[in-house]
Amino acid sequence: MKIGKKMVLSSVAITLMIILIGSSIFIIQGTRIIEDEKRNILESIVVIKEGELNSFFDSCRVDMEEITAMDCLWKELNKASELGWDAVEMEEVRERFKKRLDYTPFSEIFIMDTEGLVRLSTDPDQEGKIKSDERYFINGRDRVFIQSLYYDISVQKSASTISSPLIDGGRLVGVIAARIDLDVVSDIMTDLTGLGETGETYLVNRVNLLVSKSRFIEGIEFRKTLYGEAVKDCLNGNDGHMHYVNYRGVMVGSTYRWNEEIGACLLAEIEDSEIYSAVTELQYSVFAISIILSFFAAFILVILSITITKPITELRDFAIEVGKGKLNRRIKIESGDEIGELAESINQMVKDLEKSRDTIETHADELEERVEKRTKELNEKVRELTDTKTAVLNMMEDIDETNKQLIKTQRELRRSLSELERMDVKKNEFISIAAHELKTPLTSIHGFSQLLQERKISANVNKREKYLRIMDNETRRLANLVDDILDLSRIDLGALKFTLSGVKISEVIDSVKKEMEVPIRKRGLRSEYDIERSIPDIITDRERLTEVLLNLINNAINYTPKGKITIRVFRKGDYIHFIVKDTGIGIPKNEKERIFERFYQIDSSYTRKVGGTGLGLALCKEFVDMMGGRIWVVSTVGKGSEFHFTLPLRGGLKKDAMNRAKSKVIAKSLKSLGIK
Amino acid sequence: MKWFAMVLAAVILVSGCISTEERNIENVTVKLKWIHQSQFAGNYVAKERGFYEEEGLNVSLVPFSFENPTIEAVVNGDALFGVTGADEIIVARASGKPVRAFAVIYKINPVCAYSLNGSGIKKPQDFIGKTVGLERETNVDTLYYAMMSRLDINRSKINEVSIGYDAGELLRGETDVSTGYVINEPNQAIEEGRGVNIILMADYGVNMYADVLFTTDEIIEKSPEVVEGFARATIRGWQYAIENEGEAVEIVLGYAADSTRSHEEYMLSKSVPLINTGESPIGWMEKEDWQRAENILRDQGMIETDVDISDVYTMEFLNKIYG
Repeated sequence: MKIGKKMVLSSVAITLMIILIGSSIFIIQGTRIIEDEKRNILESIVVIKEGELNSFFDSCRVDMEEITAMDCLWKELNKASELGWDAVEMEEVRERFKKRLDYTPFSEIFIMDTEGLVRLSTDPDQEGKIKSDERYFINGRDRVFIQSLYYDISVQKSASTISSPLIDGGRLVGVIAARIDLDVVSDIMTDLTGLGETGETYLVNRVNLLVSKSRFIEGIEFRKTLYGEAVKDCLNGNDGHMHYVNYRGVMVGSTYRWNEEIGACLLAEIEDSEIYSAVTELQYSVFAISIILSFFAAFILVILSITITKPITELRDFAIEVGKGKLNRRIKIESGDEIGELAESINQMVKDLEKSRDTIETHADELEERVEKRTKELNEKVRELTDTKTAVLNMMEDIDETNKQLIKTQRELRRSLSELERMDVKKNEFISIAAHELKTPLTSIHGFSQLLQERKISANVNKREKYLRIMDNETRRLANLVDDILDLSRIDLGALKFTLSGVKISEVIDSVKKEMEVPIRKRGLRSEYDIERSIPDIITDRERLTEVLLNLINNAINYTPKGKITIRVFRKGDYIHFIVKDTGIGIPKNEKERIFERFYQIDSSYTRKVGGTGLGLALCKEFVDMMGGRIWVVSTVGKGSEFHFTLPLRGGLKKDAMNRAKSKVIAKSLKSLGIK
Repeated sequence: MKWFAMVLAAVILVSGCISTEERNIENVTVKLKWIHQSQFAGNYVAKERGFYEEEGLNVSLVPFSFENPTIEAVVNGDALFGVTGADEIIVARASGKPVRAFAVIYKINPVCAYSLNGSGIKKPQDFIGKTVGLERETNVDTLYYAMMSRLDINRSKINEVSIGYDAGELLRGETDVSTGYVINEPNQAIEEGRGVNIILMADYGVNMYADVLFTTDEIIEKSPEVVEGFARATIRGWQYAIENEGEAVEIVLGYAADSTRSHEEYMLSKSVPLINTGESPIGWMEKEDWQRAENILRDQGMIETDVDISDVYTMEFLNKIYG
């Protein structure tokens, strides 16, 4: 909320509060004063009226006294006592009494005898009536008595009657009484002085009967009975003030007094509305004044707030401008108060700001230059560094590459080394086994030759032939062995010579067939040749190929007790696939790999018997591998074996040869690196 | 909230009905002293304005009949309450009937003698040598005799005749002065344009209570709340009638169908000062007044045995009503 509004609102609120509190206090006080005033008025009215009533009745007493002192009266009374009432000059007394009626408030004067019989009255019609039961008679025999405010049946209207004993020489001779004209009483009660618009005074007698006229309701005097709180209290003999709903059903404030003499309660009432109408007026005027004051206050405050908020607003706008950067502006406020001073200070501040800013700007420019320079240098350096980094990175890459290569080479070397080691081991093994294998037939030969040198045995033709035969076998076996060994060593040295030419498969198969026909039949086996037609020629070594086939078939024959040997040949892509299948004893699973090893024999004794060297399959493998093919076996123990090998159509010294060449190279490299 | 108010209202209504039922509306028969007229205005007002109802009483107001006079009716239970003259109460009590008054209506006796204007008969003394009409079979004459006796007037010099219950004889000149009720008979003459002289017998030292409310000792003992209720409502009725004469007359006319408004207005306006004397509250009784009545009756030979005056009336209910 704006200052202006704040100021106005809070000031108006304070003003209103002050005014409200003030007016409330004022009203409360005023109300009290008014109430007191009204009560005082009522009280004084009551007191006055009571006084008037009292003095009226007092004057009645005085009048009565005066009448009872009349000489002529006593004259006649004496006559009555002595001569009887008939002797009394009634008319004269009557006239005298009537005169009194003119200047007293009495409307009738009458005399009763001691029995209560009305002997004489200013109203002749009353004469002869007996009043012995009336209170004014009964009490009037003793003293001056006022029977007030009752309904007198004789005169058929409300009345008060004053009576007085007539005592002559200590003896009662009669009672004199006078009817009091209640008009005076009525006038006193109906006097409205000080009673405003709604006030009235009235009398209530001992039996709660309203005995004076009501101001507002006609004809209820001597009819209406009042039983309100005030009347109750008053009839108990009390004076007081009270607020209540009166006999007319209206809320009034009243003052009341009990008057023993009159035997009535005097009440003075004013309606609350009249009492409080003054208060209401007061309230209205206070309210009106408050409103006016508030508006006035608000008006002044608005002006005041404007004188404050306007310069502040200017300051604010100025600040905004300055905030935008326009430091060359100055504000002008000439109010001569704190805001003016503030404006001055702000001006000074802005001036200083301006100066500072200029300085700063200059510095800023310098800085900028320097920064630029530095930045350039930095960029240079960065570039250099980046280049270096790149170079370093490249170098590292190279190193890495070289490293990798080295590792690879190292691995290969290791592999070759281990292979060489293995080969070495194998070679040694091979040599020892070969030696052993060579030695065995030689020993046999030597042995048998020794035997033959004995005449005895040589003379035996049978023995001589047998032993020579054995020696022949052994020699042949030895020769085979040496051949094989030589082959193998040549293979190892890579000196094995192959003669590659285009080979007709059918030709090879025919030669094999011819050669194996007899052995197969001799064993009681069948043979089957399944050669695919139109197999193209193969480039390979004819002799070696034939050797492999013969080898495999020989193995088949040797290990097949009975059954069939099948030879299949077919083309498969760039390869020719050969299968030599038998129904032999089969090869156990764990031997399948090992059978291609050198000198490996499943059953060495059996192999020797059949003239095997244990190198057959090894040679086959070497040959097939060299040709770029593959050789493997599929076998089930008890069922038979299938020896497979493939040869590429365009055979040639492939991998192995290269490997061997490579190993040569590696050996050379290692040597050059000084690695053993 | 509306729903709640409705339920609350229903509960109140029902409880109201229940409480009313619990109150046991008493059916009450009241025997009046005479035929329906303003003389009993207070009773009619009490009934019509619901004052009896407020006291739980369903009142039937039955006019006088010679076949079943008021005292007898109450004594034999045909009526619970009765309105009759104080003299009758005392006489009944003296003859052993257990009747008792509990409030007085007419404190000043309305019995009067009336003569036509110009007859010169203005006081009892003027009756000598005249014809006086006495209403037959009422005890209006009791007061007449008492008055004459009090005034020591020789009745033998007076021609006393029996008359009916209106001013007919007087108007026809059959009597010089007739007796009756100041509230009633004279009006007939007045309405015929003949002014009257009223001689109120109460003016001659022989005042005694006229109409009183009474019942039996038994009722007072067994149903005091009913008696109190009836007394209170009747007094209220009279107070209302005094303050609202016009309305009261209307109510009376509802009962006194054969009467005229002017007659009832006259009766009521004349009755009021006799009831509302200003000396004591409406209904209030004083021992002196009862004693005086008894004395008069004894002097007149209406009663032979002395009656204990405290048996004749009770202040029990007036005390309760006026606190």
